[in-house]
Amino acid sequence: MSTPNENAFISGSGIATYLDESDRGPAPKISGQTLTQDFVSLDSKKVSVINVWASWCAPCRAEAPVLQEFSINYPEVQFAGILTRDNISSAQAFYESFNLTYPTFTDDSLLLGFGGSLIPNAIPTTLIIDKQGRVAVRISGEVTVAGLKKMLEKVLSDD
Amino acid sequence: MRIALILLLLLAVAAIPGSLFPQRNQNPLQVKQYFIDNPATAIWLDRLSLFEVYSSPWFSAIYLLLFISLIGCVLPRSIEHLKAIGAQPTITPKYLDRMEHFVEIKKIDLDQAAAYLIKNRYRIRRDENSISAEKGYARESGNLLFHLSLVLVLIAIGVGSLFGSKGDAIVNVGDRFINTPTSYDILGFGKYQAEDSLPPFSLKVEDFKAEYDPVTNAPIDYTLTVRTANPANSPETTEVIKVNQPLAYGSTKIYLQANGYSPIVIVRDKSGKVIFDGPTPFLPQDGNLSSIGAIKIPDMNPQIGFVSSFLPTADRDPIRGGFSSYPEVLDPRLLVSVWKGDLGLNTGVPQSVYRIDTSKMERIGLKALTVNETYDFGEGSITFTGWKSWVNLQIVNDPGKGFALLGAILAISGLLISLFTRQRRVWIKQGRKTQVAGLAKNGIPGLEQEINNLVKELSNER
Repeated sequence: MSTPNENAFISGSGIATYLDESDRGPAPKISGQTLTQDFVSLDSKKVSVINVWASWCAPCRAEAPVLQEFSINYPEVQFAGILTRDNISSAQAFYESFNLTYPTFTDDSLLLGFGGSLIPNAIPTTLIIDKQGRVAVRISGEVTVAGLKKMLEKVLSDD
Repeated sequence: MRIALILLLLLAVAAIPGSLFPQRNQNPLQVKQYFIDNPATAIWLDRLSLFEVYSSPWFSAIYLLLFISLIGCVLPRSIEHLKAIGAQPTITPKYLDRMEHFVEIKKIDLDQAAAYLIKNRYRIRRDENSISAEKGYARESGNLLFHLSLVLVLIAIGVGSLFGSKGDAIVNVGDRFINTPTSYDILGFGKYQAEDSLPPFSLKVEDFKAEYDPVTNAPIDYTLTVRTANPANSPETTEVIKVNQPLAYGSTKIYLQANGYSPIVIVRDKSGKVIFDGPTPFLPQDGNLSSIGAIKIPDMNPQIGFVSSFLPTADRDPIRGGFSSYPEVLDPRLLVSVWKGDLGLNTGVPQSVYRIDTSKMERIGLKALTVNETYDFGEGSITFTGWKSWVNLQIVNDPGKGFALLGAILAISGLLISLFTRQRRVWIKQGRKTQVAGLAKNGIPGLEQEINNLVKELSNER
């Protein structure tokens, strides 16, 4: 993976998009190799939080502790990362720095599956997928504790 | 007409800055570099849109005014012309001898004259004692076609910018590019294009070859070989992209735009554990690809940054210090100055990937590395293991392009028709003698010859 050639690579605007249930499109099946070389498959019947990141991206570094904390506090929710435009050694070092425990997928072609729903449009992007396997929320840019909590609670309380 | 000419001249003048300053849409890297070299000036130039001259408000204003004046001029003329096409030539004037070309000859037969003129593609108006003939209506038709085609070109460009997209991405040889917004360095969408409308292709850069002239160091040819699949993860095909030979997926074209080097390093911490292993794209600074860049190791403790230059063919002189004397990698060096401290990456504020803000850091080492050389800087070590080429792909979706081409072809055809058509009027009046007169519109030569032919032909008939 290469690093970008701009001061501000396409970095998020910090905009959260929440879709009503009737407007949601299906998320792709998320499975593949992870940073720890395991093969992982997410359960599409569970609420998931998917974070698109790279180790060189400053907002990703700033939000990593928040995501880790949430993954512990919400055991019923699956947390996973998708690595993009980065090399494996840097990503593994990032994982050690921040003591992250949720899996990160290393094949960024997974992102193409989100065409037709909410496609990740910035590094970082955080998506929340509902119990029916549909993309409910997209947060472009760094997540905040308050913002993520509000959106996650909203999706968890869907029928 | 005069306003249009003034605006046209203004347009030409306004286009000049576009060739003086680097343009973001053509060479984002150079623009970045301009910001690095002259930050104060660059901010002002940017405020005046001088890095995006051709899409700037002031440039757009000129050509929009030009087209408004064009439409305002062409529409009434088209209506006039349509009316004229169905109409008969004007009535023969009273005094033919005032015309630019006038002869008096012996009486001729008007019927024969009429037949001759029709054969010569004149449109005629036959009155009792006179013929008024005109030909060359295509001149005006061509002229109007030219102007209307320009309007088509403008509409096509508008469609392209509203429904198109344009982005840039740097990809190392060996890496795979996935066509999704997060893979781009810069990406702009038209007003009416959705961000999930990018065709879902993947593109793996297999090989990049640059050929240079060994005498002048100038590039001769670039060849990029890719393995590509649309959609991604379907069977791949091998394609070749050259500078003027983009790869196309529908109305999306993938151009090869720039290239450079990514030195590969392995960075280990004190215990010898690998913290970083991979290529980092560097920015070329000159034609011989002396490049600068930053290798950042934010996940070491303390954080380490290498402010670096890469010289593909290293050379030295007392004034410039280290520089590259040839754009190919013949004798590479990686010059690093090692800094430890806070890279500022954990604050969440995005920063340039080519620069390191060393304000909260301290310099702990300096080294020129040859390939496979390792430098121990106390907090760890860096090994320069090799290099890769990178290419800057410009991926453009321009649905208006076909129409723009059509408009350009029609415009040129119209121009040629109007240039090569001779518009002239001929009158023949029967009195005691026959008077023949002619008028060439816009003073196109050859009228005299034509009248002489006519006179000769009709006099010989008798």
